[in-house]
Parts: sequence; C-alpha cells; structure tokens
Amino acid sequence: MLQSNAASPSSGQEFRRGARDIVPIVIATIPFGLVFGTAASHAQMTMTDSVLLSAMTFAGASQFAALEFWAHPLPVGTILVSVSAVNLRMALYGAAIGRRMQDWSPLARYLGLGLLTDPIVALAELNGGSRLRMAYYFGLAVPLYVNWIATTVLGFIAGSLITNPEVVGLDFMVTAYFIHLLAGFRGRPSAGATILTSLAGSLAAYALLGPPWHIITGAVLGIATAAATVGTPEAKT
Amino acid sequence: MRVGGHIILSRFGRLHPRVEAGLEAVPAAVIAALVAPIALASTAEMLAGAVTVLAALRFSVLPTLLIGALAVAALRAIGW
Repeated sequence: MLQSNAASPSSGQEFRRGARDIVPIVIATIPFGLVFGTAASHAQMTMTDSVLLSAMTFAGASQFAALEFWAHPLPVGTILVSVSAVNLRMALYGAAIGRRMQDWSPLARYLGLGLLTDPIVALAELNGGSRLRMAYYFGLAVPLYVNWIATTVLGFIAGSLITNPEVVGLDFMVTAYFIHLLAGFRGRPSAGATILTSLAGSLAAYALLGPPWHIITGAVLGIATAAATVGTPEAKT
Repeated sequence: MRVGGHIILSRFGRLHPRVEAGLEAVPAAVIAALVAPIALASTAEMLAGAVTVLAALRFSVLPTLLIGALAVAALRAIGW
C-alpha cells in the first residue's frame, strides 16, 4: 500500500488476510461443530463415523440431515438424494466461483471447490477482488475446515456438554450471520428484488413442499429475477 | 457436486449477460432462501430475525451475531 507501484501482496500475506477475514465465521461455527459432534454421539455413530462425515461432507445442513437418517435405516439412494438436495446450492456455488479460479492449477481448483461453503463463497465474492487469489481462498477455507473437524471431535467427546444451545441462542448465530451477509449485498444491482423474490419463494415452498425444497426454490426464483432484470432501467440504479 | 457445477459451466466459455447476472445473484438468492424459514419457525426467531436485520444494517459482524443470539435467547426466556 505504501509503495504505489509495489507488486501484488505475497501469497503468505494473502493467506493471512483470508485467515483474518474468516475469524468471525470460525467463531460462529464453533458451537455448530460442537453441537454436530454432540448430536452424532447421540445418533449411535462412532467417533470415526462422525469425523469422516465432517471431513468428507464439510456441510452442516447435510450432516444434520444425514444424522436424522442414521437412526432410521433407508435405501442409500434416498439418503443421498435428500442430503444432496439440502446443499444443492453447492453445485451453483461451484459454477459461480469456479469461473474466478481459471488461473489456478486443476488440482488446486478441485481441492478449493471441495472446501467451498456458504461464508467462503460470500467472503470470496466481497473481498476476493476480480481475480480470486488462491492463497486468499485457502486462507479462508483451511482454518474453517480444521475448525470444523476439531469441533466435531470435541463435541463428540464432550457429548452432552452443550445439551441446550437454544437457551443461550447459540443455534441462532448462523442465521444471524446469514442476515449479516445479506445486508452486505445491498447496493448491488437488483439485489433487493433478488432477495425479496428468494425469501417469498422459499417461504412458499417451505409451506407447500416442506424442507429442503425451500432452498432450491427460493434460490432459483431469486436467480431468475436477477437474470430477468439485468439491463432493464430498474436494474440501473 | 461443488466440482461438478464448475466443470459443466466451464465448458461454455463466454456467458450471456443474463446468465452472468444470474450467477452473480447466486449467493444472495441462496442465503435468502436459507434464512426465510425463520419467519415460520417461532415468534422468538421471527422477531429476533427482524432485530438482527436492523443490527446488520448498522453494526459489523460480531455485534450483529451477539445481538441476534441475545435477542433470540431473551425472547425464548420469556416464552415466545
């Protein structure tokens, strides 16, 4: 910053910048990793099961859905479709953010996409710049991933340490974080219309079809709204 | 799944402006769809959600999270 014509920041600096940006989310995720570990210990999973689920899925909603099925044996196909539908958005995310990883090596790109989560997508969108730096991205992803596995283990060991996260509102932290992210999108072209359509579509699908269909319904309607309003006078504010 | 979406879309090269705008809107649209059901969950979560929206427009992330968690805890404590 001080040297006007200095080269772009080093990889180490970019990694640390990512790690700094992710700190609030790591903190906000701790209760969820703990609660997931605790819930897994109550769902007749072994610790190895729960750690493997966290390491390979790395997606809270899918993992909580998987826990529900664990106690009630169902055909594997049914479980896979349901758990995937919960996080169907990851395919959309992968498509959106993969476009900004074109100058990464294929291995780094696929590894990076494997670590994609909601807050990482949002932070990479807001702070990554036009070219998404690999070091910044992994600075975001690695601490969150390590934290997720570590808190799964701790939660499993503690078992019943956090039996009632509702009492202190811990379970509301991710919702509050999502609301914070939504507030950050204001000012973008057609962000208001996108968000309102998505909210309405999600609520309607939640009431009519039940979860997890509200996620993909709201998302698709919101995205369609953004696509439909681009280039129109309303969108150019 | 995360990789699959990328592989399919990367086959297309240049994107139509509408597709571009749609892709840009993905995070906002999906996050809105994720949080919407709190309006149907309980009175406590609905009101705490409204409080959190106001907090998010004013404060940075950590105060917003704290205000949201405290609001829902307080509303539940009084039985809402």
